[in-house]
Amino acid sequence: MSQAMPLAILWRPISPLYGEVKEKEEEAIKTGMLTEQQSTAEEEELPDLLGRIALGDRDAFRLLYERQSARLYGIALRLTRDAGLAADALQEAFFQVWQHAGAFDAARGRAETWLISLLRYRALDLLRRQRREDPVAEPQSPDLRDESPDAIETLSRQHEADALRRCLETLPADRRALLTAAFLDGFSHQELAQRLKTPLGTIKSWIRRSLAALKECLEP
Amino acid sequence: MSTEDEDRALRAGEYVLGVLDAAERARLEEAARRDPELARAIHAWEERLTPLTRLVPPSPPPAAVWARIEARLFSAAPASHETAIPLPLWRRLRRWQAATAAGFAIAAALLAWTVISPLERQAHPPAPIALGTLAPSQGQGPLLAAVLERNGTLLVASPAPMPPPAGRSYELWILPQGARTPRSLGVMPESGRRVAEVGTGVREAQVMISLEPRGGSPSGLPTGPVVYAGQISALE
Repeated sequence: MSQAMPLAILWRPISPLYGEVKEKEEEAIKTGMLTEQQSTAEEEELPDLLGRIALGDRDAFRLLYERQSARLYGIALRLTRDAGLAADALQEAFFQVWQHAGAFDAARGRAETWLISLLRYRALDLLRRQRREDPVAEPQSPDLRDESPDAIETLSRQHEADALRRCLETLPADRRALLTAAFLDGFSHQELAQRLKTPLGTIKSWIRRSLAALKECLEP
Repeated sequence: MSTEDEDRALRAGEYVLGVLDAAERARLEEAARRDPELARAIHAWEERLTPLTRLVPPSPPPAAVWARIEARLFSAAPASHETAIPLPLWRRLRRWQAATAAGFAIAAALLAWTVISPLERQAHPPAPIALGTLAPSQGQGPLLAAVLERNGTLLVASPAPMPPPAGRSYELWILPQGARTPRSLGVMPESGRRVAEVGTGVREAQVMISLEPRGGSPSGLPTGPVVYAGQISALE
C-alpha cells in the first residue's frame, strides 16, 4: 500500500459554520483553553453526578448539563456540521443520561468516556440517518485535514491523552488525518473514499491497519 | 491474540471510530448485544479514542435545548407516554423500552457498560445455568434472587425496592470461584433489580452487596460493610 494520500488537494473552501468552528478551535488551542476547561475537579465530579442522577436527582442532572453541555454540543456540532442535528443529538443524549445513568459503572471506566460515547453515537445515528434520507445533499461538508501538530500537542497536557498522542504521532500524517477525520468529523468509509478518490477497499484497509497499529502501540 | 479476537477488535474499532454506515452500525450493535467480548472491545476503543475529543472546542448550545429536555422529562403534564416524575431505574427502563419502540436505538455505549436492556431480555429468553440467593448479613429482610444465564448475564432481584440510606449506594459484587478480588457489577438501582454481564466463564461464585458512598466505591473494591451475600451454584 504505497499510495500516499493526496492531502494537499483536499483543502477546499469550507462552510461558513464550519469555518467559524475551526476558528474557535484554533483560538482555543492558542490560548490553552482546551486544557484549562477540563479541570480535574470537574472530572472527579462526574461519576458522583451520574450516581445521583441514577437515583433521580434533578439538581445533579441540571448541574451535569451546565458543566458538560458546551463540550458535548461542540463535539456534536463538529460531527454533524449542522446546528439543528447537533442540538437534537445533545437533547437525545441527555434523555439517555437521565434514563440510563444507573448503567454507568465507575469500576469499568471513565465517566467522561461514557458520556461522550453516548453523545457521539446519537450524533452519528442522526448524521447517518440524514445522509440515507438525502444522500445527495451532504451540505456543509469540510475536507479532510490533519490536526495541526500544535493541536495534537495539546493532548499531551492531559495524562490519559498522553499515550494516545504518542501513538498517533507514530502514524504517518495522512493516516492520522484519516482517523481524526473519521472520529471527529464523522466521515464514513464511503465518504472518505469519495473524498480521497481512493477505492473503498483501500480506505477500509488503511483504517484497519491504522487501528491495528494504534491498538498495538497503546497496549504493548 | 487469535485472528478472531483481532477481527473483533478491529470491527469494534471501526464502529467507535464512526466509519460504518447506518446498516453496518445497526448490525454491529445487534452483534454486540449477543457477544459480551465485542461489547468489551467497543468499550476499550471508547476509552482509547475519547481523549481525541479534547481537540474540539466547547460551544454553548442554544438555550432551547435545555428547555426541551426539561419539558420532556419533568413537565407536570407529560404530553405522551413520557414520564414526568423520576422513577426507579427498572421502571424507567420499561418506559424506555416504549420509547425505543418509537424509534430510539439503545446506545451501544450502554451495552458496553454491563447493563442489558429489557429488549434483549425479551429477544433472548433466559436460560439459567446457575442459581442462588443473597441473604441479609444482619437482621431480618427478604432474600434476593440471583440467576446466572448461559449468555453470561446475572440478574439480581429483590422482591421489594431497596433504596439505600441517604448519600449512599448499594453496590453489587461478584467473586467467581478461584478469583482473588471481587469485581464490581455496578450500583444497585433503587428498584432492587440489576442485570449485569459477568462473562460466560462463570459457574460458581459468591455474590455480595456492599454499602458504598453514593455512586459506588471510589476504589473499585468494596469499601463499606457487606449487607447481602450469597453463593450461586451451577444447575448441571
